[in-house]
Amino acid sequence: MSQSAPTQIRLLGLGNLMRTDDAVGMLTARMLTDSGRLPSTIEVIEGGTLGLDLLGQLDGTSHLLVLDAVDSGAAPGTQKSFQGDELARLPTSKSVHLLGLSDLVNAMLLMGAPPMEIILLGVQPESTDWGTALTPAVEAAQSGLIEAALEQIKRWTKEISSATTETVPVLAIP
Amino acid sequence: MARIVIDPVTRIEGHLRIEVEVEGNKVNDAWSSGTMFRGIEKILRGRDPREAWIWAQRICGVCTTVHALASVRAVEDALGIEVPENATLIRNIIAGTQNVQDHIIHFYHLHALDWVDVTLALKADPAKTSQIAQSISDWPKSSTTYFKAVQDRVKALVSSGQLSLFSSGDWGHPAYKLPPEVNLLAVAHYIEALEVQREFIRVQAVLGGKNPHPQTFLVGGMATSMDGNEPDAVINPERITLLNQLVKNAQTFVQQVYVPDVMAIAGFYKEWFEIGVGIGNYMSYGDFPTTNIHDPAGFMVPRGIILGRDLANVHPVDPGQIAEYVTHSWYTYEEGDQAGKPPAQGETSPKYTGPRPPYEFLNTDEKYSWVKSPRYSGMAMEVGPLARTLVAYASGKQQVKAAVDGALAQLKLPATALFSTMGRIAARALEAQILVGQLSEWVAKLDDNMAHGDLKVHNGDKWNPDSWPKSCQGFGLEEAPRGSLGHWVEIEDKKIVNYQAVVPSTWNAGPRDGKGQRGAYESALQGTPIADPNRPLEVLRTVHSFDPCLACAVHVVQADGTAYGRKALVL
Repeated sequence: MSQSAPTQIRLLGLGNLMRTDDAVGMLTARMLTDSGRLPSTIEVIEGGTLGLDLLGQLDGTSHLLVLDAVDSGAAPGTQKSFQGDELARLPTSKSVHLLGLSDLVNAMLLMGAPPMEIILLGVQPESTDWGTALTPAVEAAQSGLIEAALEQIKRWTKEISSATTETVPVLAIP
Repeated sequence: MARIVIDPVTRIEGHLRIEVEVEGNKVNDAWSSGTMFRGIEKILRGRDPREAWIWAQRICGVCTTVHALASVRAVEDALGIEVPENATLIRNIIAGTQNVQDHIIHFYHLHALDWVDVTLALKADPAKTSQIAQSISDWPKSSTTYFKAVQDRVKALVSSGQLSLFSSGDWGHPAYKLPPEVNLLAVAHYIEALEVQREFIRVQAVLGGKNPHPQTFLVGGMATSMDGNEPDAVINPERITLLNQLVKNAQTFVQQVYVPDVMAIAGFYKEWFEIGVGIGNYMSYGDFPTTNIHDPAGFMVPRGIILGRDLANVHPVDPGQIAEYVTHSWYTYEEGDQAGKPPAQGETSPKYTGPRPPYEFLNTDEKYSWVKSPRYSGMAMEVGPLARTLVAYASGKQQVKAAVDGALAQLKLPATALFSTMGRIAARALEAQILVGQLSEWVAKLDDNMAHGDLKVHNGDKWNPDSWPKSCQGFGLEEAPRGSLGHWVEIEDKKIVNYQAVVPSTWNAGPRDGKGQRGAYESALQGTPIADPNRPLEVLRTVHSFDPCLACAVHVVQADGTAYGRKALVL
């Protein structure tokens, strides 16, 4: 991405709405939209389980904030953030989605035009069984996820406005 | 005799399990099992038939659109509704685009890595790759610098220790035969195809409002407004220009990249024109009407059946001869599990009798799949691009004959080479080339109609349910990317009372029937060579050559309760 490319922050919610806690990213993205607390310049994408079909919608993203369920063996509802090469290294083989987030990130890297920054805010699921409601622990984690997302967006917005003339580092594979 | 299980088969849509029995480095027998249940038929009961397509389309997110089209055709057939010419054209453009895009994705993203060793691409000399690229095509992205840059990007990915998209390959397997330079060429085009498919599918978004799952289907036509003087109309001169541009770009890619790549790769794997032969019966419902849906003679892709690999005779298709069997499927029929039921009287009564997971092998003497066994006049059929190409070829369709004969001449192969794993791959590429050429003609016709003031996209004569008969039934046939698709609907008192979908992967992935006749995958796997029983890459080559899409053959319940790993895992 050239340094003069316009900046576009996008918020991507991922997950299967029919697999209980897997839906936490999708549901939280909706809550953020409905909250009215997002700046109007932020585009929210409900990515569902679309995998590589999202490439088109992500075209031209400079900062990508992803909300999704991430199983790291922590206590249900635990929030954890991933960025840089941590993302590309995330395993995907048994993902509930057709193709996982790391496949999407790597596809963008291979195509040579990835966002400058990608941050994944993950929540540890308790269950990914069939069901349309979050488990209590994960539902309780949503408010923290919302605050973390807003915080990150605020940080990026600030960076962008103060860095208009600075060189912006391009996300590179380690 | 060793039994090998591949479960799940990756780089497909849905859940498929293949068990093969190996004797003397060859597959002696094979069993194909769909491991999820599809319940859409039950969901549709009691609903308004005009909304069936919205639900049916959700059968799959990959072959999006195809179930919507089959569904509106079925309901229109039941209610006796004719759609306007513009609606037929728009449907052809949407379905044709879906076919071409799907073929590109299948070749590069789901199948190429069975033939292309990504790790070998790293050893290639980019200058030599450039020479090869320029010798087979005019495609402009062919410089040494370009291939070097691609190689560097892939190198960076591989050295990060996470192969990601490339993680499911059997790298270093002795069955890989391409020189490093051709591997690099294919990997570069794999990456380019990611861009091409995402751009081309905008056709779907323009005409369907969104992708996947276009929203503009309608019983009686389409909900895509047309007006040459209206900037807000879905179809106006500006949109026609956009459609033409998108089609032209895709056509260039298919002609200059996809087809030359398939020909180049096929040249290194000529023995695969003798492996994976299969049933030898091929069926195509035909599609892409130039007049109307009741006139198969006017279909661009012809309707017909070829039996026993005999290209001298094309037999007619009588949809009344289709019946589904459940002898080896986890369903039960009121009439008993040996009976065959036509889809119009179809029954979906699940009855799982398989082992409780985790298990080692399925009991393939009994029921072993969630996929039923459809048969035509009692015979198993292969469907898909190869079947369509063979029916068109044998019917003497000039365009198809010229393309096929040209490819065969280039590879110095006889027509019988088409009955094979590589034949399926070649037929798919040639079909994409012909279809993408046809798209611009449909767009031109639509433009012409608009210029002449023919703006009709919907026939609303029978929109009101009060105009419907008390009871009626109908069916909608279609050629989806993976083959012959049919939806059957029965309507009573304005509601759906029965609905059945017989999808392409039901024909291809289905298990044995009561007479022991194998399904298409099972049959094609007979005699497949196996170099290394621990890495049965050759089995995957043949299974993948059909472009399996099990989400649609079966759906909803995941039989295995596999716990996911303990490392950080994005769900």
